[in-house]
This record gives sequence, structure tokens and C-alpha cells, in this order.
Amino acid sequence: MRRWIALAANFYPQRWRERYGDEFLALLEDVRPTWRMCADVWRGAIQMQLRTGTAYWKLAGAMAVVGAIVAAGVSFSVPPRYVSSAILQITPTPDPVRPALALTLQDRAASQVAQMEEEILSRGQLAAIITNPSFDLYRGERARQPMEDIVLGMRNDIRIEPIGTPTTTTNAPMAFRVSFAYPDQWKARAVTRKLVTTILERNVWVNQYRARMWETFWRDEVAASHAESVTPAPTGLEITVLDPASLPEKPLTPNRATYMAWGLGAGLLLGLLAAIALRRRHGVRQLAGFAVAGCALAGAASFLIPDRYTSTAVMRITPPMITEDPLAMPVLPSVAERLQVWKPQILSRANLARMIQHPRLDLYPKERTTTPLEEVIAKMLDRDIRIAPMNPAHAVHAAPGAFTISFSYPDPAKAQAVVRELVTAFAELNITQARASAPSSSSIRKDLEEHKAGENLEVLDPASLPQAPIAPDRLAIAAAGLALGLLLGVTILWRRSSPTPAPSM
Amino acid sequence: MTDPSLLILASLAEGEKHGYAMMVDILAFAGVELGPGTLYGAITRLEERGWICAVESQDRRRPYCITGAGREYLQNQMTSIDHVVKTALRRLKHA
Repeated sequence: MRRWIALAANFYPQRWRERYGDEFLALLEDVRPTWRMCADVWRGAIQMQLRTGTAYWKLAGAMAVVGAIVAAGVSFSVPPRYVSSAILQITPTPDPVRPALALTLQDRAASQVAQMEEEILSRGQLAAIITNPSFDLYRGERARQPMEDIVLGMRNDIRIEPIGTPTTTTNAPMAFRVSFAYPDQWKARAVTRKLVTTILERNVWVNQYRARMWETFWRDEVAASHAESVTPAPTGLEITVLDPASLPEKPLTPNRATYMAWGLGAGLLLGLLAAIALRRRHGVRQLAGFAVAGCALAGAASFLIPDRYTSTAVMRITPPMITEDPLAMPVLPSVAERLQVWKPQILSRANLARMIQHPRLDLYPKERTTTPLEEVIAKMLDRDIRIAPMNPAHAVHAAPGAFTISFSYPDPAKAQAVVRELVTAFAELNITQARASAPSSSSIRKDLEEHKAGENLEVLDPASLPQAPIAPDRLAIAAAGLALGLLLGVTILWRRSSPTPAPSM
Repeated sequence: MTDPSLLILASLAEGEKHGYAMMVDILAFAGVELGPGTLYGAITRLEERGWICAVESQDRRRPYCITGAGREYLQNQMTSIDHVVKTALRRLKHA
């Protein structure tokens, strides 16, 4: 006990100790040491430190150290995560009829992997894995958050990434790593296995379908006009498992240095604020009043803003398995270019007006009574509808074909219904344009359509029924109110403190 | 009354005392146990304001005495408190 009290006595400022140190230590020798007294001496030391000129930096430094220690403690409470990974080897099948450069083949292989990734990471697939009783993932999070957010989180936990760089050999194998990070090592491995199995099954299905299509076309359409001696073969992928899903032994520990750096910074800031608050108690109290009032007003006002829900669907343009000229290389479609053509037609004034006024949807009824329909449509386009290409997070050099369609509205069911309408509109427009671009007499075109072997537009994720509102962000509004209150407080206090000009004679 | 400054001034009004003697005296007449940190925080402030002064001493336990300004301040404070106490007691009697 005496040691702690002596330590506290040493914490007094140097100049104070030079003046009072001896007599203070003499007093401490006379009194009976207790924890209460120890706390009293520490409090006295801190108060004396705050009275010195360098108090700001001392308090900020002390708070920074405390912040770093607390953050380090917090980092120990973060559950460890285990990463299970598997390595797949992908070999593009050589094509004797359509010789291509190695990089072209590899790009196409990467594109096929990206397509598989889009499917594996689709909302439906991931939700099925999450809720599968044998995996039962994110149980705690599922009790608090909507499935949409859980799926987004799981996408960040899954990695599908290429290993090494492409080579110039025509059918050189490429390797991909599939990994999943989760707090339970057994579940991490089980999910990685499931992902690998899905990729293998999907590849087998695609290869079989492609082979069947190719055979049909060669026999029916091409063989008669092309008398090549070589036997044509469809391009595909051969996927083999190089390393099966591993059972991770060591967990990934959180980066404690980052945690401590954040704690240090936050402590430093808090310490400076506290030092200023202790020095200018009156002004700070008034400023705090303005800030709290602003925060409370903005927070209360945010409840007057209706909730908004966002429904999202994902569509995908898949490259053709076979082109109208079966000997030509299929060209990968550019989603951005395609959307540039499609969007003006889908989001035309007539289409949107029809949707808004449709009795089943009946969108923006209040706005329509006060503002012209043109303005309602413009607002719907600017604020509520979003159609954009989707980039798979981990498809490094692939050409993704997916795009998202989302709509925000105060009624979740109507938000979903509008996205469904848009998805249908895209599908119909695609068919109409495809038919218009080819002569009806083209038998290959007919066969491609019949077998869905040409370029396809498919729904990867249907329109979701949003479970939680995305707006208004009440925390952000309250924070903005707090900042505005502070600004107003500073302005008023500054105007009050500035000297009034002397009356002119 | 628990204001350490007034308690110290009241203690020194009787005569010069060192820190420990002040603590014992204050506990005896006011029933308030001042900690060493609180006591010396108040002593520092009182000396800065010129209401008390240190007495030259060879002992490590340095005694303090109240100054004229300190006495005047204590007098004013006590008069004010006395007025409040008397008013409250009178009102209690008539209640």
C-alpha cells in the first residue's frame, strides 16, 4: 500500500514536489495508509498535473497509453478465426479446330471461374449453406441481422483467388485457391469442402452440356459445310483438386498492433478533449449543451423520415457456348456496354410511368398529388433505382458478366415488386433484341435459342424481400446534429465574447 | 460544511499547524477526514491566493499560519454561512 502511495506522490509535478515534496512525504509517514487515502493521493497528483502548463500533453499521453492498453485487451476478446483452404488446378482443354493463344485460353478459363464464383457467391447459394443444419453458420449474427447482411459478410469470408501468373503455354494449368475463414475450424473446413464440391459439380455439368451442344451443332449445322480432317472438340475446363480442404491448426489472430494504434489515437484525442474541457469548464459546458441539443433534435427529427427498404436482384450475361459461326471464338460480352444500350430503354419515361401508375404498385401516391409525374420519375431515377455492373471482389483478371438491379422504397414488398418488374423487362428486352438482330431464317440461331447455347441473360439472384430498412441512418443524422450544434455553439459564444464596437461620436 | 479550504482556514484561525495537525483538528471539530491529496491541494491553492503562509521551520513538518486576507475571507464566509444557518433555524422554529 505504502508503495502505491509513494508512487502517487512521485506523480506530482516536479515544481510542486520541489516546494511541498518533503512536508508531503512527512505527512504520508504520519498517516495510516488505506486504499481510500491512496486514491486521494492519486487524485491530488492528477489535479496538480492538470494545473501545469503542459497538462494537455500529459493528459493526452496518459489517455493514449490507457487507450492502447484497453485496445490490446479488446483484441484478446475478438474470437480467433480459422482459415481452411483448398487448391484447385484448372487446365483449359486445347481446341484443335480453333487454335488460340495461351493467354486467350487462360482468360477464357479465368472468365469461366469468375462465372462459377458468381454462382457460388450468389445470395441463394450462400443462404442455403448458412442455414444448412450441418453447417449452421453465423448463428449469433442471424439472431440480430437480416440474412442479406449475413450473406454480404460471408462473401468477405470466402476467397477464390488465382495463384501464380499466367504462362504462355497454350494449355498450361492454372491454380486457384478457395478458402473460407470462420471461428470454428471444423466448420471452416466443411464449408471449404462444400465450395470445392460445388465448383467441381458445376464444371462437370457445364462440360457435359457444352459437349452435347457442340456435338449437336457439329453434326447438324457445321459438318456439312466444313470438311476439316480434325475432330472438333468443345473448349472446357478440367478441374482437379491439388490440395483438399485443410483443417486449420492455428487461428488467425487479430492484428494487435492495429488495435493498439487505434486505441492510442483515440486515447490521444480523448485526452486532448478532456484537458481542454477541464481548463475551460464553463465554455465547454455551454458547447456541450449546444451539441447535445443539436444531437437530440436531429435524432428526434430522424424519426419523422420514413424508413426505406432496398430490394436487389442480380442478373448475368453469360458468354455463348457456341457462336453462330462455330469455328469462331466466342466473344465475351461487355456488361457496361450492354447496359448502356439497355438502360435507356428499360428506364424510359413510358416504362417508369407505367410502373408508377400501375394499380398493383401505385408508387409515390403522395408525391403524385403535389408534383408533376415528370418530376416524380426524375426523382425515382436519381434516388431510388440503381443498375450497375457487379464486380466479383476476388475475380482478379476475369471479365464478370453480372450486374445488380436495386430499388429503394418505403414499402419493402413494393420495392421487391418493382425489382421483379425490372428483371422481367431486362429478360424481355434481351429476347426481343436477339430476335431482331438475326434473320428468322437462320437455323443456327434457332437452334442456339432452343438449346440456350448462345449468349444468355439469366437471373443469378431473384429480387430480395428486404428485412431491414437501409435508411434513414439515424446515427449519422444524430452525429450531423451534434456537429451542427457544436458549430452553432462556437459561433454564438464567439459573437458573445467579441468586444462590442464603441459608439461613434 | 465540507469545503477543504474553509476547513483549513478555520483550523489555522486557532494558530499555526502542520499538515497532520490540521487533519487531526479538522476531524475533531468538523468530523471530516481530509485525505493528504485533498489537504495539500487546498494548501497549494490557499497559499497561491495569499490566504495562508508557510512558517520557517527546521522540521520536515512545515507549519502554516493564516494571513490577514485569509482571516478576512474566512470571516466573510462564516458570516454568510451564519446568516443562512440562523435563517434556516428561525424558519424551522416557526414551521
